[in-house]
Amino acid sequence: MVPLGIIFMYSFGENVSLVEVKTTWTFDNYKRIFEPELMTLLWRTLWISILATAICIVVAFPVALVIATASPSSKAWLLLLIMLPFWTNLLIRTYSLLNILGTRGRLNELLGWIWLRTNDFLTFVGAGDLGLLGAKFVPIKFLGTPGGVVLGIVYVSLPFAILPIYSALERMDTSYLEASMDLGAGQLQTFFRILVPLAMPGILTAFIITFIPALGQFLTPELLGRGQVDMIANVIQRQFKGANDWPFGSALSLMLLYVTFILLALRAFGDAARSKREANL
Amino acid sequence: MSDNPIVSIRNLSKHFGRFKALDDVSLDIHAGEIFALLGPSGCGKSTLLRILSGFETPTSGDVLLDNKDLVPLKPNKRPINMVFQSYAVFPHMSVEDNVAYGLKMEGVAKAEIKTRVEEALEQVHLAQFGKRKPHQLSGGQRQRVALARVLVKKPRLLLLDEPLSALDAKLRDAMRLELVKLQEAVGITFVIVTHDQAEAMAIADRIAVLNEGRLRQVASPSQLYQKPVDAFVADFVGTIHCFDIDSAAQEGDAMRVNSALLGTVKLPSDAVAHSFDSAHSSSAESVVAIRPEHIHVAAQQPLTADVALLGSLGDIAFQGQHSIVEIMLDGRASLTAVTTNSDAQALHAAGTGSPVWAHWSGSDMLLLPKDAKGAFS
Amino acid sequence: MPKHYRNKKKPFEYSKKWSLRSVFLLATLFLYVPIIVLIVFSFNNSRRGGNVIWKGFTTKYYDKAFNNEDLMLAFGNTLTIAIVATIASVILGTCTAILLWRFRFPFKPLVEGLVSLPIVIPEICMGVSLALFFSAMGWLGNTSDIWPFNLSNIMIAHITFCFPFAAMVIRTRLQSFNREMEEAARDLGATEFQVFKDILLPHLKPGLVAGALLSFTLSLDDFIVTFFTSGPNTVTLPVKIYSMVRFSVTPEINAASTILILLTLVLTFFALRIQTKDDSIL
Repeated sequence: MVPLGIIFMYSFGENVSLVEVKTTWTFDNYKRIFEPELMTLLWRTLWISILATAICIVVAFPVALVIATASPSSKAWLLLLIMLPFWTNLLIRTYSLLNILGTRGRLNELLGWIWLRTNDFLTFVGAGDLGLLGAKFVPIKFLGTPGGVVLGIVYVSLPFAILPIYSALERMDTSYLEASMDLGAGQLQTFFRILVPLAMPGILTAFIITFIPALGQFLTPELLGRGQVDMIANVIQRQFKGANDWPFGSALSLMLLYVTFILLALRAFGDAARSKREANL
Repeated sequence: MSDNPIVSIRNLSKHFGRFKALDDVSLDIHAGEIFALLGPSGCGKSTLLRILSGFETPTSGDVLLDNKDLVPLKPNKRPINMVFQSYAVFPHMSVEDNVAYGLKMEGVAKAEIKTRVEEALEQVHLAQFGKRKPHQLSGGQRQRVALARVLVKKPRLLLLDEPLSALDAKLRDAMRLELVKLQEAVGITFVIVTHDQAEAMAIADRIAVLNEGRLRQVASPSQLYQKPVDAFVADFVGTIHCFDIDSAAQEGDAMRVNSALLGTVKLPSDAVAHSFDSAHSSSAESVVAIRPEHIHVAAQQPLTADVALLGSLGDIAFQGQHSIVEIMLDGRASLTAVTTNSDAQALHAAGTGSPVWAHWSGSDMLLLPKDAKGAFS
Repeated sequence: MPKHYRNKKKPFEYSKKWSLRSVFLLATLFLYVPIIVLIVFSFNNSRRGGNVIWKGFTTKYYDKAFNNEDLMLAFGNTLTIAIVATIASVILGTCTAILLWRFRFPFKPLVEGLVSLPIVIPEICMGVSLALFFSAMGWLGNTSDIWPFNLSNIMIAHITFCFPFAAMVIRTRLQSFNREMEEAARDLGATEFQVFKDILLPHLKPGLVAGALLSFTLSLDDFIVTFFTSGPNTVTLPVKIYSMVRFSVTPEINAASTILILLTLVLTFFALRIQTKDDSIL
């Protein structure tokens, strides 16, 4: 109980110290956030996070569906298969992606090989001269592009998105689906009108659990973005490790915290509204 | 019964905030009996059990065990043990370890623990199961472990919280008999909490009926059934049909009762509940009642019957040894009567809706207060 | 002759649909290929960082990694921190969980919220606030302290973000505890402490193991918080790898990463073993 008290004081202390640093009551640090340069950065942080989260959920849903409807014996193994990378170090996973995505990395190597073979094939069938695939293989640039960063975030957060959707689908009663079909809905209609809405709480959790860390992503933009696709976390880090502008860094990370709290509050609000609605049924 | 009760409960009350779980309950439990606490859920019977075991402290009143105050003793210091509703058999210990646990806590010597555990397992027919883990046992076996675990401690009082509710119907009947036999063998006083009147009737020597925190009646099962103290008890221990009365007046040895539905009926004095007094004679306070097994059904109007009501034949339910016949009384109410199967078949031939007479004798009826307000035998 | 039907799929066995199966397969490949490539190429006999071409099998980068004193020091630091953080987190987490489960007290929701705060807020906020906290306390990674006390900063930081997770896992386990078990033990004569030792603790064991494992992995994995709270001389393996990656991509990093992956794998394996064993008991 005493240790809890200490930690309680600690978490309190953190907040106090954050406030202390900016207790000159100046809003300059906050004003600086709204300068155009930073606005572009915030905007970029936002759309990269949203895009990555959306991709995660779109991919996670079918994956979760497969696991949830698999036979009980294989379920555990499939789940383990998906969760194993989650246990692996974030930095290492990002690094492993870095390894592959380089301009002369293995993915481009593979794509180049495919390009070559396809071209050979086209030549073989007599269409080689048409230059359908361009005259020369151009390696796709992943590193230092927003696309690479999005891919990186999707890569590290996919397991997070799968888990809540899986547990929502797992709990679902198949009789809802059967009732829907019984009432004349087709497979696709049942999928979109029954399955997806019923899994919505899980999807929302997946969104929160993916989106919040994505906003604060530091490693992915740092390593895969090569300093050209900075997100808010990179700027925060620079305030502390490089520019030594701690108050500004604090203001930025507080911004991030506020966004987190707003999202969580919104969700709690939504949860309350939903349980109220269900209670009325 | 012996004059020296093993447990003596005096003016016991337990309040949870404004809610009165127990309200001024006094009763005695005699050594060597099976005592049942019966009542609907929320009546306070479990609270009473938890006060006996020491997990609740009463708001006021006394609980004496062998004439010594029990209230200040902690649960682990009481010579009282409990079989929990969920059995609470420790999942990470073997059967033996479960049974030995209480003795270890007492600091009994190892060798003695071993023999006593074996003895207890023998008693509940689990001698070969000592090394098993609880998850390898059936529900019934787990209950036996829970029983052995408390029997081994040789408590003064054994509490059983809804002991049969988790078992399926067939096992339940077998366990009823076995519990009674076990109690006879060990001679320990049992207190059983149950909401199932049939269970209480089958097992208990005496039953205390509780409702809304108040004690309604303490009596033997047959007394409870035949001489219920009020309409609530009568209804709770078995089906009974109640009729509002307009007036009731003493007439010699008998009681003359006027009822809108039944007309005037004379009841012999032993049909009047002893809790009935002049205060109950107004129409709003009392009812006359009849149990289904005392109702006869006939196609013709009976020649001699104290009460005869014309109705139409409703559903007939075959119950095995007997049948239950429903008689619709002209839109006001329906009665059920217990008949032989052959009578039921004859009625069935007449067809649903055909006119039938329900009749019975006044001496089978009961004149009951609606609420005896704490009066009990 | 009766009509025969091919064994048709039931309509909602999504796991048997090829379209969904292929998505699953692709997602799994997407998750695994980079890691497998990383491991495979840690054995590549090539000096160049990009190491595109397979040049034969070698373990020399493992030799190199094991002989790299900085790397091994960082590795030792990582393990020490993880072990200390795990033990402290489990103890603290158990206390917190029992406290929140057992007692009612004013501002309980507030305390609950504060305790789970580190779970929900972005890591970088944790890192920043801890760094600020340490500097405000004048408690910077003191280089003059002897090992392992020079790691105390990082340890405290790790405990701060690990123990809420441990508390969460243990609390979930507590929720499945049947209070009648506790009462039964009391009824049989056990004291409060004996109940805790004989009944509650054995029930909690799977939760404690899961909590410990989670704490250990989180501590092992953490880069951001350590990055912000570590001094120049207190480096953990992830931080070390990060600084190496910043310079160049070498097979040595691959080797070091592989070691860390292997460690995680072994841990997960043991955790699963313990967990399934416990499940069969309960």
